[in-house]
Amino acid sequence: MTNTETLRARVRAMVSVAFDAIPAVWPIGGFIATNPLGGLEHRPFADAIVTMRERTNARGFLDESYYRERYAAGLISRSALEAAFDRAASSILDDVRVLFGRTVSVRDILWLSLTNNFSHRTKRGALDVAAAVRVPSAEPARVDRKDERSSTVTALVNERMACWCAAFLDDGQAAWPMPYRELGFYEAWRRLAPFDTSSTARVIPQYRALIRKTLPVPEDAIAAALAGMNVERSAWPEVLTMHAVRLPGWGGLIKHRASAHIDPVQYLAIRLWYERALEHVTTVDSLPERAHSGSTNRVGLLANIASALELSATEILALGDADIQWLLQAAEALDEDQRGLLWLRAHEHALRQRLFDRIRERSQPLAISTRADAVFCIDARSEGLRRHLEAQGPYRTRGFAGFFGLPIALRDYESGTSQQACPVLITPKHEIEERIAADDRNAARYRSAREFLSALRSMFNAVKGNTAAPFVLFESLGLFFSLPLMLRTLAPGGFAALRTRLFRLFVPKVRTTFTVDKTTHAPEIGLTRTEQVYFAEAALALMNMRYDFARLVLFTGHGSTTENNPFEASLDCGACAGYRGGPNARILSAILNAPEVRKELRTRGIWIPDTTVFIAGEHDTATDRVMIYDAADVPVSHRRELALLQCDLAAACAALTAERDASLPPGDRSVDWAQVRPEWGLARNAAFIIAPRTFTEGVDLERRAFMHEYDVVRDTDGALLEIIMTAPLIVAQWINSQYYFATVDNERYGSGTKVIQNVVGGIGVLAGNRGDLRAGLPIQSLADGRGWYHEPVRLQTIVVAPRARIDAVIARNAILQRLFNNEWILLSAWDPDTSGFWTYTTHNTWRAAKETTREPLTTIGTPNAA
Amino acid sequence: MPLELTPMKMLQVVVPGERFATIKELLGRAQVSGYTVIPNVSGMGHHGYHEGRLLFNELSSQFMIVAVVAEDRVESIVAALEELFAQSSGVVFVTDCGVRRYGYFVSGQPQ
Repeated sequence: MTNTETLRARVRAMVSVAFDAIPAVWPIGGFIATNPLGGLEHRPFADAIVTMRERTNARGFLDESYYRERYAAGLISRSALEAAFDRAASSILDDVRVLFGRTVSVRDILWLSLTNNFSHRTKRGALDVAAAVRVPSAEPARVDRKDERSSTVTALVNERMACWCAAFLDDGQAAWPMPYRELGFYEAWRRLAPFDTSSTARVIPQYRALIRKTLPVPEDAIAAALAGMNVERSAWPEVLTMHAVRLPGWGGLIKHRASAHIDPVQYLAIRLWYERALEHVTTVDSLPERAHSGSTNRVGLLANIASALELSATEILALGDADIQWLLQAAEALDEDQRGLLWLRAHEHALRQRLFDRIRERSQPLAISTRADAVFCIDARSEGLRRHLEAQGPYRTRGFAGFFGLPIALRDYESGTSQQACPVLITPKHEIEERIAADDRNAARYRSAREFLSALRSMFNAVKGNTAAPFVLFESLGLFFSLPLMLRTLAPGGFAALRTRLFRLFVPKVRTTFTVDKTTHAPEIGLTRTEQVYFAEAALALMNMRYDFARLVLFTGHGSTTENNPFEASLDCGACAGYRGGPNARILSAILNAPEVRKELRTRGIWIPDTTVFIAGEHDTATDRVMIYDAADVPVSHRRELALLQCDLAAACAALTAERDASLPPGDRSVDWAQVRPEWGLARNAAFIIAPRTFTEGVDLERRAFMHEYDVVRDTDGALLEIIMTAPLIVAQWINSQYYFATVDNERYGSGTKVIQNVVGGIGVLAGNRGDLRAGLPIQSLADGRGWYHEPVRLQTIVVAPRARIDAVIARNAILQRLFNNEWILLSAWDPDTSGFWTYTTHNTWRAAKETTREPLTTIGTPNAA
Repeated sequence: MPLELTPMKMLQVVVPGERFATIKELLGRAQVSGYTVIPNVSGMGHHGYHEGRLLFNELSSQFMIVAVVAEDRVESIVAALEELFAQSSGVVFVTDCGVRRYGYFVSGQPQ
């Protein structure tokens, strides 16, 4: 093996490591929530925020005014702020001075600076100008000319890369695809770049000659560019990382799509080529120098300190320079990020206390009989439905990951394509096909109508994409299209109903089934009996169901119906890779209704009575309706119970709608194509509770908690807890982090306002028509126009189990050590041995949670600041 | 008759599942024609004892990949692993081994 090959292998490995810094981005049709800072989870949360600020100038906390308003409104209690303050201030030397006969400490000043609105801008103009002369102000920071230049180059490189990526990664949206795509990204770029007439290409001297000289192998090109820019070999990984993080949207999508066609190596080879080519371009230097004001108005700060200490301007001015300097330094003892962390901790502390209090004070209803068992996804939106269903009668509800434990891909009966139907933490091991039921009388009519519609659609698109035809097309059909356009705008609800009715006239509804069992003619599809028993056993053990089954057991997946919404998948089931969860519920109930499976399960200690029937449903989280699948297959003996369950579900849904209307005015949200906020999705998610339902039953968790059923008594070795903490909890943490970061810095981690977004290539959205692929949540998913609706807090996990059991699970999983010890997830336990709450600090140490005085419970509709 | 074996190198790589795709690609590029994958392996490491019981998380469970390669392939593979392990967890063991049917293990080589 030659040195060249060894160097290529090294470069490839370095690029792979560099791309750890950004999370993979899935195409928007199967939106997967990830932690935008996932690559930094091996470091403490606070350090990662500082790193991102240094790398990309991203913010890690909301503005202090947000927290201060919550403090003023009593939502952050004084005790919560004091606890966070003590923790942050423990590292500060508490110096004391006597000013005007009063003893004042650094901590006093710092506390005042937190609780009073200490802006660095003069608000009151209270102080004499003379003070300004005496207050030393930091030298105006002059930005290094080199830094300035480098950011201009970065902007130019980003612009070119975004343009090439959008062209190459198009998923069939473009009528005129980029040529040479079959040769791979790097080679296609080499062939097409000579024709680039953009301003960037024009400023590079001898542009075409340079392109011709590019090396054919991307690894070699990376090595040449780095060597050409005199980057030391030891610094290569760092420089590659800096380039990997610059366009996290496109970079993340390429990481997800990595193949011989396009991968991070090809991407960085092109990127570094531009970087090097622009290195010596002189025209970049001629850009006008921007004025930077790095000085902070410390006079204002001093005025605020004076006001907080109730000192007059004259009194403050009577102080010596040393005292003034001391006061200013005390107020600035913590930097912006440290203060942000302090407020965040206070906010989380207050929320945790409220949650603990509610659970402590719950009054448990006494259930005598069970009308039915109902299992829902852990999704926080299920909490509301479960609570309202339980209020209708003696229902036992449980939380379980919405893919119902099936590591499968689903083949769609319409498109014939397969899609993942389990969390992206695992690769699907089996494929299951959804088919039109063989005995369905409408099958033939359905198929021919579908084929006709599909032909009509491709014909229309072909004419629309033609160069000349659109002139005639819109002249002739424009009027025809204007009627539905007006109807769907003026009466979205009526239009949707009419459209469905017309559609059903033409395309009849068909009944579908799943090929759960393996067949001889398609052995790659379906599950063997052994596999069915294995998955059923695991799912039931995790749901904590072994012998106490009701006559009716409902599995409920969820999905969301929305119109004209590229982020539709972000509202569907996160455990089903961003798709609807109904099919998984149907498949598991089909497996558990099979007598052979039940017989086998009995030998493994799971006793399902012959009288128990499993049924599947799907909760539409936008419309609050629960649809029951295959109701016609339910035996006559169970029809009465089913009817009762359906009635109770309808009543529970109505109650849930009324509850949700408080935060989102009612209307035809799910069918209105102008609606930017069809539902709140997982906004306000704050907790993950791993406990038997009895632990939280009767508590209003405001649809803010993910809930997984768990009974420590039936998990003697911690194996079930380990599965819950390493899979559903991880998916929930991704969702929580995504909401957190999209809120604290929507520009960097979110996707900005939906109003100016455009779908690009069928894979994602851009703000406007250029720039990075915007992978995060839009502002409309997080704010309500008046302020932030989502409360950015880290996921507060509560496990009902002895601390030693939890410690043992953490000790054997590096991922949990990273997440808990670095405070990406906050952990608490309700320890049955001590009957009390404990909070995890770090590295297997726990602190008993104090009982607190009552704090206001209402959090909805409180003042926000955004 | 003495058993004639061609000397080769056996690589045993243990990495977290999130690195598995990288290793597969690395072996593919080094023209390694086959390898064995043992998912969810258990054992003791710097991060404690891995039980190998993660049912629904392949990214965090440990994988072992066993490959037999010609001696001249070892350098580039180990160099790449060195770069990977400088930043994240994983181990590689390289041992001498012998095989019959040399060509079976080396793509593009005569049998």
